[in-house]
Amino acid sequence: MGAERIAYYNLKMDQIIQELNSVDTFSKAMKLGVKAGLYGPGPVLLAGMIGFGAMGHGIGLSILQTSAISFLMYALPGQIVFIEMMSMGAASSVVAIAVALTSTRFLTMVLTLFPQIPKQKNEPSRLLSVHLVAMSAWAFCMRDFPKMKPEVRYGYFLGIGLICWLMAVPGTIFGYIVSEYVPIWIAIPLVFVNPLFFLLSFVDVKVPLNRLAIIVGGIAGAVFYNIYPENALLISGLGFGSLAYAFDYFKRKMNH
Amino acid sequence: MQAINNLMTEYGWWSVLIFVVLATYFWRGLGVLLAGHVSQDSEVFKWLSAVTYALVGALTFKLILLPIGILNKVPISYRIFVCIICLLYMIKLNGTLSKGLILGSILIGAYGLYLSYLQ
Repeated sequence: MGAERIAYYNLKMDQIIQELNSVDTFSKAMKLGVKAGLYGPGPVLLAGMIGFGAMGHGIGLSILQTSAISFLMYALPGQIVFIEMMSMGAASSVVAIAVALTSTRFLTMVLTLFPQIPKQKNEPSRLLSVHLVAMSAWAFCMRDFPKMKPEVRYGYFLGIGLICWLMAVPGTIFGYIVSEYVPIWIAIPLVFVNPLFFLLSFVDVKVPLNRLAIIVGGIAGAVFYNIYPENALLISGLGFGSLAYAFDYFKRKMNH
Repeated sequence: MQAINNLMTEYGWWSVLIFVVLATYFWRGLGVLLAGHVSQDSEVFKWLSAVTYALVGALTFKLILLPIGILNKVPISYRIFVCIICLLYMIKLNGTLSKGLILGSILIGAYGLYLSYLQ
């Protein structure tokens, strides 16, 4: 049964990829995007949101607070930084700076994605739809856009983005409620799924500077949590990330 | 800074949420405004991505090594063991992210089963 499921899943994804270059209208592209979202990034995103719901419950937030975070922020690392630091009693301004720094990746993501979509009259506002840009929709659009007609790309992006965003809140609520009643052997994987997801996605990081930043930041994080728990993330990110950058910068200068 | 902190304590948790929501949206909105106007190869981008990765790296190590709550019931050595197995699966066997996640969930869940029934 399991193997059949995976074969069916791969077949579906292949069908979607084959349809990409024949799609010619906005609405067809959007429908295809919804399908791609459900079969592609959807399951992993849903697992992450369920895990976040379980974390929110474990930390002692209300169900409304936990789902509002997923709906309004829609950025898992930032969401987890937020609830972790709040529970550590960090000052509000430090929390805001740390969250803002975790979200800088969206700038590069939007800058690489949106120029591939030609501007059209009466298109849905980009300043609104940009909220849907997250790792899930971004990675798939970057992969599939080159195979698509430029004028239908926006529809495809909206399809993937909307369906993934719409999964965020139900996933969070489900994780929150379920973590209260399930046995410990299900509850443990629920809260483990997000850190493991971050760890495993580091494998795909290819730029040497970013790899160095992950390792230096990670070690600094583990050390500083014992000394300054409320500011550890900011020190490790801003301080040690900059240090990694400086090291890389001078290394590049020396080689030239 | 102090003024911001005072404002936050006055209006509580929800005002901090609004603040971090705006901080998150800031980068997305800025991307829309700058799209097509800036090069991503500049030094500022290199620095920003290094800071982001260091922060997420710190967050990840912290969540795995020093968790709050239920994950604490799994000994640190077993948590690290699961992470190493999953990383090896990804690197050596070219595994996909979703299968790596399933593998890790099963391994960590197995310890939960041990706690529930065998201990």
